[in-house]
Amino acid sequence: MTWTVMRFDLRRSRALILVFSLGIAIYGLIMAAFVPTIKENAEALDQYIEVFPQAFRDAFGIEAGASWATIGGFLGIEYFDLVWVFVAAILAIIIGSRGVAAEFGRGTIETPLATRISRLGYLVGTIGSQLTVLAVFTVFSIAGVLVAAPVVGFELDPTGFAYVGLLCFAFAAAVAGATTLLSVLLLDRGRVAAVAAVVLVGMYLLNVIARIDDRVEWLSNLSAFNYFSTGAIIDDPALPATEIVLFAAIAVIGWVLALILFRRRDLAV
Amino acid sequence: MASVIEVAGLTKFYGKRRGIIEVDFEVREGEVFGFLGPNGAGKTTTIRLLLGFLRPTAGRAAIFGKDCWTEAPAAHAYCSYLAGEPAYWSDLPAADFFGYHCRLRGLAPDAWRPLAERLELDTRTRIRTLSHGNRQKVGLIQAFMGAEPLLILDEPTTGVDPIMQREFLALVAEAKAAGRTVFLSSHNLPEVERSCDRVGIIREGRLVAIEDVGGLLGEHLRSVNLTLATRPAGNPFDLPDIEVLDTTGTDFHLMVHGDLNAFLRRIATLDVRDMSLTTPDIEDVFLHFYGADRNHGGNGRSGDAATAEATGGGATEQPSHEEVAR
Repeated sequence: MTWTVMRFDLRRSRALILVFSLGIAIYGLIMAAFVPTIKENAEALDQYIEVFPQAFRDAFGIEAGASWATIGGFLGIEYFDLVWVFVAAILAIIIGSRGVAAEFGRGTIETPLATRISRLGYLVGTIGSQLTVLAVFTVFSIAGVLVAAPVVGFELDPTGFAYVGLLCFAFAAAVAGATTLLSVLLLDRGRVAAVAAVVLVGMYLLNVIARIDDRVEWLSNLSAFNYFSTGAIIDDPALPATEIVLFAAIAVIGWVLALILFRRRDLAV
Repeated sequence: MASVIEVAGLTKFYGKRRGIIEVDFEVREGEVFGFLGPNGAGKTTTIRLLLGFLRPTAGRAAIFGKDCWTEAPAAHAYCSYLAGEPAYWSDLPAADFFGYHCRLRGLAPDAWRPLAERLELDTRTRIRTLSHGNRQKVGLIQAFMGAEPLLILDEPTTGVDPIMQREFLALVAEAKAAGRTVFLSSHNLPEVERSCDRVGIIREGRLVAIEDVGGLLGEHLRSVNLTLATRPAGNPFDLPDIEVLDTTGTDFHLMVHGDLNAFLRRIATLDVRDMSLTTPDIEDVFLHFYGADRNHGGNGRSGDAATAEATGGGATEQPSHEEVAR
């Protein structure tokens, strides 16, 4: 029964998976295609970057020299840490709010829940679907870069990318887990998306402020974005175990709390 | 006969807002039980409690002995449910929707096919492109395609055209003939009259009556439509066994209980232009239950706004008979 729900949910997610996965793969491919040019012009780019105020560079994590001159530095700043993270968050919010809040709003949640499947089984099915969607998205996120690398003429250490993939998946899962919990609490997709977006943007700004002002550097500890940094991992592969465990814990806590609450939740506004 | 649905002291409050209050009834095996009431009376809340979508504030509901809240999946194994305004994944072809339903309910993958062919529904078409009538067919097929012993139908014919309504009544009759039990929530009185064995009437969250349809329409009640030649000064039918259900100028719609002689003696004193006396249809009975409060100061089987909705007049409060008479 859980498997039936998961398969059905995945089937309905085909277009979503296709659009997000192909979109991010193409973007990754384009970014990767720029790597040789960036490397060739690293010195000029560093000079260009030094023109920007230090606070601006701090805010966006742009370091002259080391960052831009390396593959990890460029892909980290321009792809994973800047664009990917927000695209992944949007996807995670969409799928995290769909199984309960969106289906409740549409009235379709009654279809499975009026049958033999338990609420627990239903939600586990939708969580299984979330994990599958995020796994496919993560693979495509990495694949775009990996496919482009040999074509445009640079080498990548697949180990580093595997670690980045794990970190990416864990981050997206954390957003999905938290959104699933919000979804059960609020039963309103619009409000769920709004709250999740406000929290994420707030965390991003918190991280920016913490980087600019040393006096509030500790604020970065409260931001998920502080724990999502990929450049160094690509250049010097090391498993970011702490960050992965942190994100995974948030995801699991979100899903488990969602499961507990959903079992006892009135399905009425 | 065994009980299929048992409801005892079932109460639901949404915060301070009333859902239903201490509702008690049972539905017996093989019967078609009508659950009548206007919008907002508590019909859908009761069904949501039966389906385990809501947790009771107090009391208990059980289907085939399985508690509807704590053993919801086990209770659902006996049920097929059709919502009042069923929601669909509109991007799916109807066949895929039915297929998903079959898998969830443990039915054969093509259990929907005979009914779809009977109702002539093109199941390859996406649901969003189906006409309103065809969407209604999707709901009926989904509800009736299985063999679950209990059908829970929440206002299934709201907005349904007469042809589909006839089809619906036929399907209910077939389900009954097959020994299935039907719990039918409705404010469509003729539909209930034609399909149900017993009726529960809910008003403002409280169950005000449970009767056999035959009993409700039985020999003890008479519906009288009367036109007087002149408008009377007061209420000429202020008698213990007469209820004034409606009055407009010289026209009176009355419900007479029991012995007719007192009533006949009273109209003999009046200048009557026209009169019809019939066994009441269920609509009259409904008016009787919802109008009692206004005439008798509340006896637990009354209402006001309900009358308007039950007769298609919307949910606004109606003036009392006394006010109308003035």
